Amino acid sequence: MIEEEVVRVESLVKRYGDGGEVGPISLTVRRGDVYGFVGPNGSGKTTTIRAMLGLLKPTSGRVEVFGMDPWRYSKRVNALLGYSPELPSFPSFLTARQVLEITGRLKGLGGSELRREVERVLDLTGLVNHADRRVGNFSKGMVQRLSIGQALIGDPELLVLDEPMLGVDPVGRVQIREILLEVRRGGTTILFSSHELYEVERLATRIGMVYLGRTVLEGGIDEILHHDGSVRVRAVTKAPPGEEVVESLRTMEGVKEVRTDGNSVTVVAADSVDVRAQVAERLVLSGCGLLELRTERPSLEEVFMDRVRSLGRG
Amino acid sequence: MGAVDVLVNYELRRVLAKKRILVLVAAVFLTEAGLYLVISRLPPSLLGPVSPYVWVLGVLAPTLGLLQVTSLMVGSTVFSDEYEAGTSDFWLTRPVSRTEYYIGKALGGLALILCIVSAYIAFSVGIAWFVFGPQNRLDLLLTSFPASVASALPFYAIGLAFSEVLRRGMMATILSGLTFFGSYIFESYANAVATFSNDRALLELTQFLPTWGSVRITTDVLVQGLSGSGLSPTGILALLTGLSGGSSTSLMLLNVIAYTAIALLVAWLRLRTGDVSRRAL
Repeated sequence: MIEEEVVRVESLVKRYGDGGEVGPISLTVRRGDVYGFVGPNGSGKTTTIRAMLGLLKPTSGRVEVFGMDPWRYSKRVNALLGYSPELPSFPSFLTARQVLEITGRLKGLGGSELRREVERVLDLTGLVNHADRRVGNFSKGMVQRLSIGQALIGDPELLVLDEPMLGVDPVGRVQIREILLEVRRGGTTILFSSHELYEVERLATRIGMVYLGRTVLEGGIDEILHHDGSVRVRAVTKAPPGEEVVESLRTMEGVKEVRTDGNSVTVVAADSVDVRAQVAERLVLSGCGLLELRTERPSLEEVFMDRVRSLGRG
Repeated sequence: MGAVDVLVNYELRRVLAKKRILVLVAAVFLTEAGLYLVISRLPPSLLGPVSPYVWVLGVLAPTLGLLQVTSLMVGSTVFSDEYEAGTSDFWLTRPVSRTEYYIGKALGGLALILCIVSAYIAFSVGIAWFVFGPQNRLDLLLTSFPASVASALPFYAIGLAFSEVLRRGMMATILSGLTFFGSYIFESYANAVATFSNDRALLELTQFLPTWGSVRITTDVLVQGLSGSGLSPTGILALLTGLSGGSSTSLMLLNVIAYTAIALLVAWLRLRTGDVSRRAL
Protein backbone atom coordinates (compact mmCIF):
# COMPACT_ATOMS: atom_id res chain seq x y z
CA MET A 1 0.00 0.00 0.00
CA ILE A 2 1.33 3.43 -0.88
CA GLU A 3 1.44 5.62 2.20
CA GLU A 4 -0.39 8.91 1.78
CA GLU A 5 1.90 11.80 1.05
CA VAL A 6 1.05 14.90 3.03
CA VAL A 7 3.90 17.08 1.77
CA ARG A 8 5.87 16.74 -1.43
CA VAL A 9 8.65 19.16 -2.27
CA GLU A 10 10.44 18.49 -5.54
CA SER A 11 13.60 20.35 -6.53
CA LEU A 12 12.46 23.55 -4.84
CA VAL A 13 14.67 26.49 -5.77
CA LYS A 14 14.17 29.96 -4.34
CA ARG A 15 16.17 32.91 -5.60
CA TYR A 16 16.07 36.05 -3.47
CA GLY A 17 16.33 39.63 -4.63
CA ASP A 18 19.73 40.07 -2.95
CA GLY A 19 21.22 37.28 -5.07
CA GLY A 20 20.91 34.55 -2.43
CA GLU A 21 19.71 31.19 -3.64
CA VAL A 22 18.42 28.07 -1.92
CA GLY A 23 17.87 24.68 -3.48
CA PRO A 24 17.27 22.31 -5.05
CA ILE A 25 15.52 20.88 -2.01
CA SER A 26 13.30 17.81 -2.07
CA LEU A 27 11.40 16.10 0.70
CA THR A 28 8.41 13.89 1.22
CA VAL A 29 6.36 13.72 4.41
CA ARG A 30 3.86 10.88 4.74
CA ARG A 31 0.83 10.71 6.99
CA GLY A 32 1.89 9.79 10.54
CA ASP A 33 5.54 10.79 10.05
CA VAL A 34 7.42 12.83 12.59
CA TYR A 35 9.74 14.39 10.07
CA GLY A 36 12.93 16.02 11.33
CA PHE A 37 14.18 18.58 8.85
CA VAL A 38 17.80 19.19 9.76
CA GLY A 39 20.68 21.30 8.61
CA PRO A 40 22.82 24.19 9.76
CA ASN A 41 21.58 27.78 9.88
CA GLY A 42 21.00 29.22 6.43
CA SER A 43 20.71 25.85 4.72
CA GLY A 44 17.19 26.43 3.40
CA LYS A 45 14.93 24.85 6.04
CA THR A 46 12.88 27.96 6.73
CA THR A 47 12.63 28.82 3.04
CA THR A 48 11.20 25.36 2.35
CA ILE A 49 8.73 25.64 5.20
CA ARG A 50 7.60 29.11 4.12
CA ALA A 51 7.05 27.83 0.59
CA MET A 52 4.94 25.01 2.07
CA LEU A 53 2.75 27.57 3.82
CA GLY A 54 2.24 29.76 0.77
CA LEU A 55 4.31 32.62 2.18
CA LEU A 56 6.93 32.34 -0.57
CA LYS A 57 6.56 31.65 -4.25
CA PRO A 58 9.17 29.13 -5.45
CA THR A 59 11.43 30.29 -8.28
CA SER A 60 11.28 26.77 -9.67
CA GLY A 61 10.36 23.29 -8.55
CA ARG A 62 7.13 21.99 -7.10
CA VAL A 63 5.58 22.19 -3.65
CA GLU A 64 2.41 20.32 -2.75
CA VAL A 65 0.71 20.11 0.61
CA PHE A 66 -2.29 17.77 0.80
CA GLY A 67 -2.04 17.67 -3.00
CA MET A 68 -2.50 21.44 -3.33
CA ASP A 69 -0.18 24.21 -4.42
CA PRO A 70 0.11 26.32 -1.24
CA TRP A 71 0.89 29.52 -3.15
CA ARG A 72 -2.46 29.31 -4.93
CA TYR A 73 -4.51 27.65 -2.22
CA SER A 74 -2.95 28.98 0.97
CA LYS A 75 -6.30 29.34 2.75
CA ARG A 76 -7.26 25.72 2.15
CA VAL A 77 -3.78 24.44 3.00
CA ASN A 78 -3.57 26.49 6.19
CA ALA A 79 -7.00 25.23 7.28
CA LEU A 80 -5.47 21.74 7.51
CA LEU A 81 -2.23 22.56 9.27
CA GLY A 82 -0.89 24.30 12.32
CA TYR A 83 2.32 26.29 12.13
CA SER A 84 4.75 27.61 14.69
CA PRO A 85 7.42 29.91 13.20
CA GLU A 86 11.11 30.11 13.99
CA LEU A 87 10.67 33.44 15.78
CA PRO A 88 7.09 33.40 17.01
CA SER A 89 5.53 36.80 17.33
CA PHE A 90 2.02 37.72 18.40
CA PRO A 91 0.30 41.08 18.67
CA SER A 92 1.63 42.24 22.03
CA PHE A 93 -1.67 43.77 23.16
CA LEU A 94 -3.53 40.45 22.91
CA THR A 95 -3.70 37.91 25.73
CA ALA A 96 -2.76 34.26 25.21
CA ARG A 97 -6.44 33.35 25.33
CA GLN A 98 -7.29 35.94 22.65
CA VAL A 99 -4.54 34.61 20.37
CA LEU A 100 -5.96 31.11 20.69
CA GLU A 101 -9.55 32.33 20.25
CA ILE A 102 -8.70 34.24 17.07
CA THR A 103 -6.98 31.17 15.65
CA GLY A 104 -9.92 28.98 16.64
CA ARG A 105 -12.46 31.34 15.08
CA LEU A 106 -10.51 31.46 11.85
CA LYS A 107 -10.46 27.66 11.85
CA GLY A 108 -14.24 27.65 12.04
CA LEU A 109 -14.70 26.98 15.75
CA GLY A 110 -17.22 28.89 17.82
CA GLY A 111 -19.24 28.91 21.04
CA SER A 112 -18.63 26.19 23.59
CA GLU A 113 -16.55 24.15 21.14
CA LEU A 114 -14.09 27.05 20.85
CA ARG A 115 -13.97 27.56 24.62
CA ARG A 116 -13.28 23.85 25.21
CA GLU A 117 -10.54 23.81 22.56
CA VAL A 118 -8.85 26.89 24.01
CA GLU A 119 -8.91 25.36 27.50
CA ARG A 120 -7.51 22.07 26.17
CA VAL A 121 -4.58 23.83 24.50
CA LEU A 122 -3.93 26.10 27.48
CA ASP A 123 -3.79 23.00 29.65
CA LEU A 124 -1.55 21.08 27.23
CA THR A 125 0.93 23.95 26.98
CA GLY A 126 0.88 24.74 30.69
CA LEU A 127 -0.37 28.29 30.11
CA VAL A 128 -3.62 28.07 32.09
CA ASN A 129 -2.36 30.46 34.76
CA HIS A 130 -1.13 32.94 32.14
CA ALA A 131 -4.12 32.78 29.80
CA ASP A 132 -5.29 36.33 30.48
CA ARG A 133 -1.89 37.99 30.51
CA ARG A 134 -0.78 40.08 27.56
CA VAL A 135 1.60 38.24 25.25
CA GLY A 136 3.91 41.26 25.28
CA ASN A 137 4.78 40.37 28.88
CA PHE A 138 5.58 36.72 28.16
CA SER A 139 9.04 35.13 28.45
CA LYS A 140 10.58 33.56 25.37
CA GLY A 141 9.74 30.06 26.58
CA MET A 142 6.11 31.01 27.18
CA VAL A 143 5.86 32.59 23.73
CA GLN A 144 7.29 29.41 22.22
CA ARG A 145 4.74 27.27 24.09
CA LEU A 146 1.92 29.60 23.04
CA SER A 147 3.19 29.34 19.48
CA ILE A 148 3.00 25.57 19.58
CA GLY A 149 -0.39 25.83 21.30
CA GLN A 150 -1.93 28.04 18.63
CA ALA A 151 -0.60 25.61 16.01
CA LEU A 152 -2.49 22.80 17.77
CA ILE A 153 -5.85 24.60 17.82
CA GLY A 154 -8.48 22.74 15.84
CA ASP A 155 -6.52 19.45 15.85
CA PRO A 156 -4.62 20.01 12.58
CA GLU A 157 -3.72 17.13 10.30
CA LEU A 158 -0.18 18.43 9.91
CA LEU A 159 1.88 20.31 12.47
CA VAL A 160 4.74 22.38 11.06
CA LEU A 161 7.26 23.65 13.61
CA ASP A 162 10.23 25.75 12.58
CA GLU A 163 13.00 25.45 15.19
CA PRO A 164 10.64 24.85 18.13
CA MET A 165 13.51 24.71 20.64
CA LEU A 166 15.30 27.84 19.47
CA GLY A 167 16.44 30.03 22.35
CA VAL A 168 14.45 28.07 24.94
CA ASP A 169 16.04 27.22 28.31
CA PRO A 170 16.48 23.56 29.38
CA VAL A 171 13.23 23.52 31.40
CA GLY A 172 11.33 24.98 28.45
CA ARG A 173 12.90 22.41 26.15
CA VAL A 174 11.69 19.55 28.30
CA GLN A 175 8.18 21.04 28.36
CA ILE A 176 8.13 21.48 24.59
CA ARG A 177 9.49 17.98 24.03
CA GLU A 178 6.73 16.57 26.25
CA ILE A 179 4.08 18.47 24.28
CA LEU A 180 5.44 17.11 21.01
CA LEU A 181 5.61 13.55 22.34
CA GLU A 182 1.99 13.88 23.45
CA VAL A 183 0.98 15.14 20.01
CA ARG A 184 2.98 12.37 18.35
CA ARG A 185 1.12 9.78 20.43
CA GLY A 186 -2.12 11.20 19.02
CA GLY A 187 -0.95 10.29 15.51
CA THR A 188 -0.63 13.83 14.14
CA THR A 189 1.82 14.20 11.29
CA ILE A 190 4.63 16.53 12.37
CA LEU A 191 7.32 18.29 10.37
CA PHE A 192 9.84 20.14 12.47
CA SER A 193 13.09 21.79 11.54
CA SER A 194 16.10 22.02 13.76
CA HIS A 195 19.83 22.31 13.68
CA GLU A 196 19.96 20.58 17.06
CA LEU A 197 20.45 17.00 16.01
CA TYR A 198 20.12 15.51 19.48
CA GLU A 199 16.51 16.73 19.71
CA VAL A 200 15.74 15.48 16.22
CA GLU A 201 17.13 12.04 16.99
CA ARG A 202 14.86 11.77 20.03
CA LEU A 203 11.66 12.78 18.27
CA ALA A 204 11.80 12.04 14.55
CA THR A 205 10.80 8.90 12.66
CA ARG A 206 12.02 10.27 9.33
CA ILE A 207 14.72 12.76 8.55
CA GLY A 208 15.67 15.06 5.70
CA MET A 209 19.07 16.72 5.76
CA VAL A 210 19.89 19.91 3.93
CA TYR A 211 23.31 21.42 3.58
CA LEU A 212 24.42 24.47 1.62
CA GLY A 213 20.91 24.92 0.30
CA ARG A 214 20.32 21.41 -1.01
CA THR A 215 19.00 18.08 0.20
CA VAL A 216 21.85 15.70 0.97
CA LEU A 217 20.04 12.83 2.67
CA GLU A 218 16.48 11.71 3.34
CA GLY A 219 14.96 8.60 4.86
CA GLY A 220 13.75 6.78 7.96
CA ILE A 221 15.78 7.41 11.10
CA ASP A 222 17.10 3.82 11.27
CA GLU A 223 17.96 3.86 7.61
CA ILE A 224 19.82 7.16 8.01
CA LEU A 225 21.72 6.07 11.11
CA HIS A 226 22.99 2.99 9.27
CA HIS A 227 23.52 4.93 6.11
CA ASP A 228 27.30 4.51 6.06
CA GLY A 229 27.13 0.70 6.62
CA SER A 230 29.24 0.93 9.75
CA VAL A 231 28.94 -0.33 13.29
CA ARG A 232 30.61 1.25 16.32
CA VAL A 233 32.03 -0.86 19.13
CA ARG A 234 32.81 1.17 22.21
CA ALA A 235 34.97 -0.19 25.03
CA VAL A 236 35.72 1.32 28.44
CA THR A 237 38.99 0.20 30.05
CA LYS A 238 40.57 0.51 33.51
CA ALA A 239 43.67 2.20 32.12
CA PRO A 240 44.09 4.12 28.87
CA PRO A 241 44.85 1.67 26.04
CA GLY A 242 48.45 1.85 24.80
CA GLU A 243 49.48 2.82 21.30
CA GLU A 244 50.42 -0.79 20.52
CA VAL A 245 46.95 -2.22 21.15
CA VAL A 246 45.28 0.68 19.35
CA GLU A 247 47.45 -0.05 16.33
CA SER A 248 46.58 -3.75 16.50
CA LEU A 249 42.87 -2.84 16.53
CA ARG A 250 43.38 -0.70 13.42
CA THR A 251 44.84 -3.64 11.50
CA MET A 252 41.84 -5.90 12.17
CA GLU A 253 39.79 -6.97 9.17
CA GLY A 254 36.83 -4.65 8.43
CA VAL A 255 37.97 -1.88 10.81
CA LYS A 256 37.65 1.60 9.29
CA GLU A 257 38.68 3.80 12.16
CA VAL A 258 39.79 3.63 15.82
CA ARG A 259 39.26 6.60 18.13
CA THR A 260 40.52 6.91 21.69
CA ASP A 261 39.45 9.27 24.42
CA GLY A 262 41.09 8.64 27.81
CA ASN A 263 39.87 5.25 29.04
CA SER A 264 37.50 4.83 26.14
CA VAL A 265 38.15 3.39 22.69
CA THR A 266 35.71 3.35 19.76
CA VAL A 267 36.20 0.98 16.85
CA VAL A 268 34.29 1.80 13.67
CA ALA A 269 33.93 -1.28 11.49
CA ALA A 270 31.93 -2.47 8.51
CA ASP A 271 28.62 -3.83 9.79
CA SER A 272 29.20 -7.04 7.78
CA VAL A 273 31.94 -8.02 10.23
CA ASP A 274 31.42 -8.72 13.95
CA VAL A 275 34.57 -7.43 15.62
CA ARG A 276 33.35 -7.43 19.23
CA ALA A 277 35.09 -10.68 20.33
CA GLN A 278 38.40 -9.67 18.76
CA VAL A 279 38.29 -6.17 20.27
CA ALA A 280 37.58 -7.63 23.73
CA GLU A 281 40.34 -10.20 23.39
CA ARG A 282 43.01 -7.71 22.31
CA LEU A 283 42.13 -5.20 25.03
CA VAL A 284 42.19 -7.91 27.75
CA LEU A 285 45.52 -9.29 26.48
CA SER A 286 47.03 -5.79 26.41
CA GLY A 287 46.49 -5.55 30.17
CA CYS A 288 44.53 -2.29 30.20
CA GLY A 289 41.53 -4.04 31.82
CA LEU A 290 38.18 -4.21 30.05
CA LEU A 291 35.26 -2.81 32.06
CA GLU A 292 32.54 -2.47 29.44
CA LEU A 293 31.95 -3.24 25.79
CA ARG A 294 28.91 -2.29 23.75
CA THR A 295 27.78 -1.75 20.19
CA GLU A 296 26.57 1.74 19.37
CA ARG A 297 24.90 3.14 16.36
CA PRO A 298 26.31 6.43 15.07
CA SER A 299 24.63 9.53 16.33
CA LEU A 300 22.77 11.73 13.88
CA GLU A 301 25.45 14.31 14.41
CA GLU A 302 28.16 11.85 13.32
CA VAL A 303 26.16 10.81 10.27
CA PHE A 304 25.58 14.42 9.36
CA MET A 305 29.22 15.37 9.79
CA ASP A 306 30.33 12.30 7.79
CA ARG A 307 28.01 13.40 5.01
CA VAL A 308 29.29 16.96 5.14
CA ARG A 309 32.90 15.71 5.03
CA SER A 310 32.16 13.44 2.08
CA LEU A 311 30.55 16.35 0.24
CA GLY A 312 33.61 18.43 0.99
CA ARG A 313 35.83 15.71 -0.47
CA GLY A 314 33.56 15.48 -3.54
CA MET B 1 -17.65 35.22 12.44
CA GLY B 2 -15.79 35.46 9.12
CA ALA B 3 -12.12 36.17 8.58
CA VAL B 4 -12.82 39.75 7.48
CA ASP B 5 -14.84 40.46 10.65
CA VAL B 6 -12.06 39.07 12.83
CA LEU B 7 -9.48 41.20 11.02
CA VAL B 8 -11.56 44.42 11.14
CA ASN B 9 -12.05 43.95 14.87
CA TYR B 10 -8.35 43.22 15.38
CA GLU B 11 -7.23 46.18 13.26
CA LEU B 12 -9.37 48.63 15.24
CA ARG B 13 -7.82 47.39 18.48
CA ARG B 14 -4.31 47.40 17.03
CA VAL B 15 -4.48 51.01 15.85
CA LEU B 16 -6.07 52.17 19.09
CA ALA B 17 -3.16 50.56 20.96
CA LYS B 18 -0.72 52.85 19.12
CA LYS B 19 0.18 55.96 21.08
CA ARG B 20 1.14 58.15 18.13
CA ILE B 21 -2.27 57.65 16.53
CA LEU B 22 -3.99 58.50 19.80
CA VAL B 23 -1.87 61.66 20.08
CA LEU B 24 -2.97 62.73 16.59
CA VAL B 25 -6.62 62.06 17.37
CA ALA B 26 -6.23 64.13 20.53
CA ALA B 27 -4.66 66.88 18.39
CA VAL B 28 -7.76 66.92 16.18
CA PHE B 29 -9.99 67.51 19.19
CA LEU B 30 -7.67 70.10 20.69
CA THR B 31 -7.69 71.96 17.38
CA GLU B 32 -11.48 71.96 17.42
CA ALA B 33 -11.59 73.28 20.97
CA GLY B 34 -8.95 75.93 20.20
CA LEU B 35 -10.80 77.01 17.08
CA TYR B 36 -14.02 77.63 18.99
CA LEU B 37 -12.15 79.41 21.72
CA VAL B 38 -10.69 81.80 19.12
CA ILE B 39 -14.04 82.35 17.38
CA SER B 40 -15.75 83.14 20.67
CA ARG B 41 -13.42 86.16 20.94
CA LEU B 42 -14.87 87.74 17.77
CA PRO B 43 -16.90 90.93 18.37
CA PRO B 44 -20.67 90.24 18.61
CA SER B 45 -21.36 92.42 15.56
CA LEU B 46 -19.24 90.11 13.42
CA LEU B 47 -20.15 86.90 15.14
CA GLY B 48 -23.91 87.51 15.32
CA PRO B 49 -24.92 86.65 11.73
CA VAL B 50 -22.73 83.53 11.53
CA SER B 51 -23.19 82.12 15.02
CA PRO B 52 -26.00 79.69 13.94
CA TYR B 53 -23.55 78.24 11.39
CA VAL B 54 -20.40 78.03 13.47
CA TRP B 55 -20.61 74.24 13.58
CA VAL B 56 -19.51 74.30 9.94
CA LEU B 57 -16.07 75.58 10.89
CA GLY B 58 -15.51 72.67 13.25
CA VAL B 59 -16.49 70.21 10.52
CA LEU B 60 -14.22 71.92 8.01
CA ALA B 61 -11.10 72.64 10.03
CA PRO B 62 -9.68 69.09 10.27
CA THR B 63 -10.25 68.47 6.54
CA LEU B 64 -7.79 71.25 5.71
CA GLY B 65 -4.85 69.04 6.69
CA LEU B 66 -5.09 67.42 10.08
CA LEU B 67 -7.50 64.70 8.97
CA GLN B 68 -5.28 63.85 6.01
CA VAL B 69 -2.20 63.58 8.24
CA THR B 70 -4.07 61.41 10.75
CA SER B 71 -5.36 59.21 7.94
CA LEU B 72 -1.97 58.74 6.32
CA MET B 73 -0.51 57.80 9.70
CA VAL B 74 -3.24 55.23 10.23
CA GLY B 75 -2.76 53.91 6.69
CA SER B 76 1.02 53.74 6.85
CA THR B 77 0.94 51.30 9.78
CA VAL B 78 -1.73 48.94 8.46
CA PHE B 79 0.57 46.41 6.80
CA SER B 80 4.06 47.59 7.77
CA ASP B 81 3.48 47.09 11.50
CA GLU B 82 2.66 43.45 10.88
CA TYR B 83 5.82 42.89 8.83
CA GLU B 84 7.99 44.69 11.36
CA ALA B 85 6.53 42.82 14.32
CA GLY B 86 6.57 39.48 12.47
CA THR B 87 2.81 39.10 12.94
CA SER B 88 2.08 39.00 9.19
CA ASP B 89 3.20 35.35 9.45
CA PHE B 90 0.59 34.83 12.15
CA TRP B 91 -2.25 36.07 9.96
CA LEU B 92 -1.17 34.61 6.65
CA THR B 93 -0.68 31.13 8.07
CA ARG B 94 -4.29 31.01 9.31
CA PRO B 95 -7.12 29.95 6.99
CA VAL B 96 -7.25 33.51 5.65
CA SER B 97 -6.79 34.32 1.97
CA ARG B 98 -4.65 37.29 1.03
CA THR B 99 -7.77 38.99 -0.30
CA GLU B 100 -9.53 38.60 3.05
CA TYR B 101 -6.43 39.79 4.87
CA TYR B 102 -6.23 42.86 2.65
CA ILE B 103 -9.92 43.70 2.90
CA GLY B 104 -10.07 43.09 6.64
CA LYS B 105 -7.02 45.22 7.40
CA ALA B 106 -8.00 48.03 5.03
CA LEU B 107 -11.59 48.10 6.33
CA GLY B 108 -10.34 48.10 9.91
CA GLY B 109 -8.29 51.25 9.31
CA LEU B 110 -11.20 52.82 7.47
CA ALA B 111 -13.55 52.01 10.33
CA LEU B 112 -11.25 53.90 12.66
CA ILE B 113 -11.26 56.91 10.34
CA LEU B 114 -15.07 56.81 10.25
CA CYS B 115 -15.06 56.78 14.05
CA ILE B 116 -12.67 59.75 14.19
CA VAL B 117 -14.70 61.79 11.68
CA SER B 118 -17.99 60.95 13.44
CA ALA B 119 -16.52 61.87 16.82
CA TYR B 120 -15.07 65.24 15.83
CA ILE B 121 -18.22 66.22 13.92
CA ALA B 122 -20.36 65.36 16.96
CA PHE B 123 -17.90 67.24 19.17
CA SER B 124 -17.98 70.22 16.83
CA VAL B 125 -21.78 70.43 16.66
CA GLY B 126 -22.06 69.90 20.41
CA ILE B 127 -19.56 72.60 21.37
CA ALA B 128 -20.97 75.06 18.79
CA TRP B 129 -24.48 74.55 20.16
CA PHE B 130 -23.29 74.89 23.75
CA VAL B 131 -21.17 78.05 23.21
CA PHE B 132 -22.95 79.85 20.34
CA GLY B 133 -26.56 78.73 20.79
CA PRO B 134 -28.84 76.69 18.48
CA GLN B 135 -27.26 75.77 15.16
CA ASN B 136 -28.93 75.92 11.74
CA ARG B 137 -28.73 73.82 8.59
CA LEU B 138 -27.62 70.66 10.39
CA ASP B 139 -29.18 68.81 7.45
CA LEU B 140 -25.91 69.57 5.67
CA LEU B 141 -24.26 66.94 7.85
CA LEU B 142 -25.77 64.39 5.48
CA THR B 143 -23.43 65.58 2.75
CA SER B 144 -20.56 67.02 4.78
CA PHE B 145 -19.98 63.76 6.68
CA PRO B 146 -19.38 61.65 3.54
CA ALA B 147 -17.39 64.57 2.10
CA SER B 148 -15.14 64.56 5.20
CA VAL B 149 -14.64 60.82 4.85
CA ALA B 150 -13.79 61.36 1.18
CA SER B 151 -11.24 63.98 2.28
CA ALA B 152 -9.49 61.34 4.35
CA LEU B 153 -9.54 58.56 1.76
CA PRO B 154 -6.73 59.44 -0.70
CA PHE B 155 -4.08 59.87 1.99
CA TYR B 156 -5.28 56.88 3.95
CA ALA B 157 -4.91 54.82 0.76
CA ILE B 158 -1.53 56.40 -0.10
CA GLY B 159 -0.26 55.60 3.41
CA LEU B 160 -1.59 52.06 3.07
CA ALA B 161 0.13 51.59 -0.31
CA PHE B 162 3.49 52.79 1.04
CA SER B 163 3.00 50.57 4.05
CA GLU B 164 2.66 47.46 1.88
CA VAL B 165 5.22 48.42 -0.75
CA LEU B 166 7.96 49.49 1.69
CA ARG B 167 6.94 47.29 4.63
CA ARG B 168 8.53 49.79 6.98
CA GLY B 169 6.18 51.98 9.03
CA MET B 170 8.48 54.95 9.52
CA MET B 171 9.45 55.09 5.84
CA ALA B 172 5.80 54.76 4.81
CA THR B 173 4.79 57.60 7.14
CA ILE B 174 7.61 59.84 5.92
CA LEU B 175 6.93 59.24 2.22
CA SER B 176 3.16 59.60 2.45
CA GLY B 177 3.66 62.71 4.60
CA LEU B 178 6.03 64.12 1.99
CA THR B 179 3.44 63.40 -0.67
CA PHE B 180 0.82 65.32 1.28
CA PHE B 181 2.93 68.33 2.25
CA GLY B 182 4.69 68.47 -1.15
CA SER B 183 1.37 68.48 -2.95
CA TYR B 184 -0.14 70.99 -0.52
CA ILE B 185 2.76 73.43 -0.85
CA PHE B 186 2.97 73.07 -4.60
CA GLU B 187 -0.76 73.65 -4.93
CA SER B 188 -0.63 76.80 -2.75
CA TYR B 189 2.23 78.31 -4.77
CA ALA B 190 0.68 77.30 -8.09
CA ASN B 191 -2.64 78.88 -7.08
CA ALA B 192 -0.96 82.12 -6.07
CA VAL B 193 1.11 82.33 -9.26
CA ALA B 194 -1.87 81.39 -11.44
CA THR B 195 -3.99 84.11 -9.81
CA PHE B 196 -1.36 86.78 -10.39
CA SER B 197 -0.56 85.73 -13.93
CA ASN B 198 -4.08 84.58 -14.85
CA ASP B 199 -2.56 81.27 -15.93
CA ARG B 200 -5.48 78.87 -16.46
CA ALA B 201 -3.22 76.00 -17.46
CA LEU B 202 -1.40 76.14 -14.13
CA LEU B 203 -4.69 76.19 -12.25
CA GLU B 204 -5.87 73.17 -14.19
CA LEU B 205 -2.61 71.40 -13.48
CA THR B 206 -3.25 71.66 -9.73
CA GLN B 207 -6.40 69.62 -10.21
CA PHE B 208 -4.21 66.58 -10.76
CA LEU B 209 -2.55 66.89 -7.35
CA PRO B 210 -3.64 64.47 -4.61
CA THR B 211 -4.45 67.31 -2.20
CA TRP B 212 -6.71 69.14 -4.66
CA GLY B 213 -9.80 66.99 -4.18
CA SER B 214 -8.99 65.84 -0.67
CA VAL B 215 -8.56 69.28 0.89
CA ARG B 216 -11.34 71.06 -1.03
CA ILE B 217 -14.21 68.64 -1.26
CA THR B 218 -15.74 69.23 2.20
CA THR B 219 -15.45 72.99 1.83
CA ASP B 220 -16.99 72.80 -1.60
CA VAL B 221 -19.93 70.70 -0.42
CA LEU B 222 -20.62 73.04 2.52
CA VAL B 223 -20.20 76.23 0.52
CA GLN B 224 -22.67 74.96 -2.05
CA GLY B 225 -25.08 73.83 0.68
CA LEU B 226 -24.94 77.14 2.53
CA SER B 227 -25.14 79.37 -0.53
CA GLY B 228 -28.94 79.13 -0.42
CA SER B 229 -29.15 80.22 3.22
CA GLY B 230 -29.79 83.89 2.48
CA LEU B 231 -27.00 84.85 4.86
CA SER B 232 -24.36 83.90 2.30
CA PRO B 233 -21.68 82.92 4.78
CA THR B 234 -19.58 81.59 1.92
CA GLY B 235 -17.43 84.71 1.98
CA ILE B 236 -16.64 84.17 5.65
CA LEU B 237 -15.94 80.51 5.01
CA ALA B 238 -13.66 81.32 2.12
CA LEU B 239 -11.85 83.86 4.24
CA LEU B 240 -11.39 81.47 7.15
CA THR B 241 -10.40 78.42 5.09
CA GLY B 242 -8.42 80.11 2.36
CA LEU B 243 -10.42 78.18 -0.19
CA SER B 244 -13.17 79.23 -2.49
CA GLY B 245 -16.07 77.46 -4.10
CA GLY B 246 -16.77 77.33 -7.75
CA SER B 247 -14.84 74.21 -8.80
CA SER B 248 -16.80 71.19 -9.78
CA THR B 249 -17.57 68.83 -6.91
CA SER B 250 -17.71 65.94 -9.31
CA LEU B 251 -14.15 66.69 -10.48
CA MET B 252 -13.00 66.73 -6.87
CA LEU B 253 -14.73 63.46 -6.24
CA LEU B 254 -13.08 62.03 -9.34
CA ASN B 255 -9.68 63.18 -8.04
CA VAL B 256 -10.39 61.56 -4.66
CA ILE B 257 -11.60 58.32 -6.23
CA ALA B 258 -8.68 58.14 -8.66
CA TYR B 259 -5.97 58.57 -6.01
CA THR B 260 -7.73 56.23 -3.60
CA ALA B 261 -8.29 53.54 -6.21
CA ILE B 262 -4.76 53.68 -7.64
CA ALA B 263 -3.15 53.52 -4.19
CA LEU B 264 -5.39 50.65 -3.07
CA LEU B 265 -4.64 48.78 -6.28
CA VAL B 266 -0.87 49.19 -5.84
CA ALA B 267 -1.12 47.84 -2.28
CA TRP B 268 -3.29 44.95 -3.39
CA LEU B 269 -1.00 43.93 -6.27
CA ARG B 270 2.05 44.04 -4.01
CA LEU B 271 0.37 41.92 -1.35
CA ARG B 272 -1.07 39.49 -3.88
CA THR B 273 2.14 38.84 -5.76
CA GLY B 274 4.93 39.42 -3.22
CA ASP B 275 6.54 36.97 -0.82
CA VAL B 276 5.77 37.52 2.84
CA SER B 277 9.05 38.70 4.27
CA ARG B 278 10.29 37.50 7.64
CA ARG B 279 10.66 39.83 10.57
CA ALA B 280 13.94 41.74 10.39
CA LEU B 281 16.34 40.25 12.96
